[in-house]
Amino acid sequence: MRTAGWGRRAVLFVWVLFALFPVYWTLITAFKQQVDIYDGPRFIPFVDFEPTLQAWRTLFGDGGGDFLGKFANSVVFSGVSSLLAVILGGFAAYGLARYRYKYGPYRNDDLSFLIVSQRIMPPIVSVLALYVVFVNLRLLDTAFGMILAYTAMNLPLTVYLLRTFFEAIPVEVEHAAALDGYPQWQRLLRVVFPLAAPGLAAAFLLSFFFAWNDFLFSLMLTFNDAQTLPLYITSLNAQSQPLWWLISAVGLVALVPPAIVTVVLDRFMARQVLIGGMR
Amino acid sequence: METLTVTGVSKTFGGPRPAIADLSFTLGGGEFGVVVGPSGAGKTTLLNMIAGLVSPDTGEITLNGGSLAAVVPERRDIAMVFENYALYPHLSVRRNLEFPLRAPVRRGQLSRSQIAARVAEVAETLRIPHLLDRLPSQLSGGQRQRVSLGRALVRRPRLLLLDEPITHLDAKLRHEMRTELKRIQRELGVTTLYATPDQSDALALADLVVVLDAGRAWQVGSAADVYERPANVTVARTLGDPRINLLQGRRDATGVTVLGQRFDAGQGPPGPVTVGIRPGDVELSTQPVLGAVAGRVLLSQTLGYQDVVYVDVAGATVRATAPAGIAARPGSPAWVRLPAARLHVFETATGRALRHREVV
Repeated sequence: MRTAGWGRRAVLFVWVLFALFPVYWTLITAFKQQVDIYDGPRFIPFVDFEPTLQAWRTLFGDGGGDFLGKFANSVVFSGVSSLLAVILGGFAAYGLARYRYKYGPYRNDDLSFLIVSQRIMPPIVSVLALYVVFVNLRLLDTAFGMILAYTAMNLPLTVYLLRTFFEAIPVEVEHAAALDGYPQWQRLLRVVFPLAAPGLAAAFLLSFFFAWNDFLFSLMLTFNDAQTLPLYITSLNAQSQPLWWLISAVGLVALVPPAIVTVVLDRFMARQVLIGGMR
Repeated sequence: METLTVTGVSKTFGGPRPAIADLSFTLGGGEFGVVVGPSGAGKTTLLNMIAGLVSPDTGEITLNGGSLAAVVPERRDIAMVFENYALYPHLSVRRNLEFPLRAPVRRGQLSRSQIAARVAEVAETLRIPHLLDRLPSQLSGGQRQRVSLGRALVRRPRLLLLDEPITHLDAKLRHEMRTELKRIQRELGVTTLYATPDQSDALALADLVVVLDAGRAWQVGSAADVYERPANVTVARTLGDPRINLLQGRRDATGVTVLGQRFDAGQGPPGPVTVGIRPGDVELSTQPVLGAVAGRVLLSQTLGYQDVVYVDVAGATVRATAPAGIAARPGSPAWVRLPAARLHVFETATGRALRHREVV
C-alpha cells in the first residue's frame, strides 16, 4: 500500500472523528443514568460520569417488553426476505438477461421497467393497499406476512441490480459449460452464480438494510407478535420522556447484525471474478 | 473417428437474409475441416448449430450416422474452443481442465487419479504444466488459448470445434499455434472443424475446405481443389494471398478478350466474363516483352522474399508478384503478360467458373 500524504491523513482523521462520534455518543449513553443524560453533556466515562448497566439489565431483564422477540423478528424477517428476494430476483434477472420475452407488446426492457416501477412510487402509497390485502388474507401481524411484504419490497431492487451482473457474464462461458457436459441447473450453480457472486452479495446486503431499517411496513402491518426493532425503539419514546439510555442500548444492538452481514459479504463483493476468462 | 455430415441446414435469425442457407458437407473421420469466410459469413452460427447451442430451422446434422437433432449440447460430447476462450475465470487452470471430466454426464466414469492423470497428460501435450495452479487472469493471451484448447481436448471428444481459435494471437504465435494444432490433431486423430477468416489457415491445415460467405457454401473440397479449381468468383477471391486478379473481359466463340488481348481459352457463347489470374502467374517485366501489355507501376509492396507490384494497365489494376528488389518504382513503366494457360474464366452474371487454369 502506498503511504498516504499527511494532508490526506489529517482530512481522513477528521472525517473518522465526525463519522464515529454519533456511534460513540450512543455507546456512552447506553451506560448512563437518567441524571447523566439530562444534566448537561458528559463525554468521558469514569471521569464525567459513572457508567452503569442499568439500561442493559432492563433490556435483557423483565422490563424490556420482549426486546429479544422483536430483535429475533427483525433478524428473521430481514434475513429470510433478503434471501428470498435474491433467489427469486436472481432467477428473474437471469431470465431477463438471457432470454427474449414477448408478452403482447412487452419486451425485456418493458418487463424490467414494469418491475422496477414498483419501487418508483413511495411505499406509503402501496402500504395502504397492502393493509387491506393483509386484513383480508389474515396476514396482519404474522411473520409470514412480513416476510412476504419485505420480499416484495426488495424484489425490484434485486432484479434491477442482478440483471446487470448476469448480462456482464459472457454467454460463451455458459455455452462452454453446456458443451463440457453440464445441464442448465448445473451451469447456473457451478458457473453463473459463482461469477455473479459480487452481485448476489450486494443485492442481499441492500435488501437486508432496507428490510432492517423499515419502519412503515412494520407500523402499518404489525401490532405485537410480528413487531420489529425500529417500532420497538419508537415505543420506548412513548413515555413521558424518551428513555435515552434504553434507546441507545437497543440502537447499539441493532447495529450488530448489519455489521456482521457487511463484514461477511464484503469479501464477495470485492472479488473481481469476471477477469481473465476472456481474451 | 467420427464422421460429421451436415445436410441441407438453414438458419434465419429474423433478419432478411438467412445466416446459413442450405448448407451441406461431409467431414470424414479424423479429418481436419476448415470453414473459411469473412466475418459475418455464418461460421459461428454453423459451429453453434453443430454444438447444439443453436437449433437449425431445417436440415439435419449427424455424427457417425446418428442424428443430433434431439440431443442436448451437454450430451453431444462435442468440444468447442471459443473465439474469446471462455475460460471459467473463478477456477484455476487445473480446475478448468478438470471441469469437463467432473461433469454430471461423465459421473463415475473416471476416478480421481484418472482425472489427475488426464489433466497432467493434456497439460504436457500443450506445454502448460507450470501454469496449472494459476487463475486465468494471471495468464497471457497465448496461454489462455492453450488452456482453452486443453479443456476441449482433455475429455477426448467425438468432435472438436474450433471457432477462430488463433485469430487474436500475435502473428508469430499464430504460426506456432497453427503448426501445433495440426500436430495435436494428428496425434489424437479427433475429427476437427475449424472456422477462420484467414485463408492461409485453410490452405495450411485443411483436409476439407468449406468456403462460406453470406451463409452459403460456395465450394466444398480439398485445399488443392478450392485453390486450383475455384467453382466461382467468391471462392477464387477468398483463397490466395495476395488476392487473385479479377479482370473484366469478353468471351466469344474462339476465346476471351481481356486487357485488349485475345486468348484462345474459355471459348463459348458470347458475353461478359470475369477473368481471374493469380498474382504469382502474372509475368511482370520492366522491359518490353513479346505478348505483354504496357502499364505503369502504381505501388510496390515488399514481402521480403518477393514483391507485390500493383500495375495500372488500361485503367485496370493488376497485382503481380516479382522477385524482391525488382526496379518497380511508382510511376515507372512495366509490362504485364498473362499466360493463357493460367487463366480462370468466370461467367460475370453468375460468378460460375467456365474454365480453370491448367496445372503444370
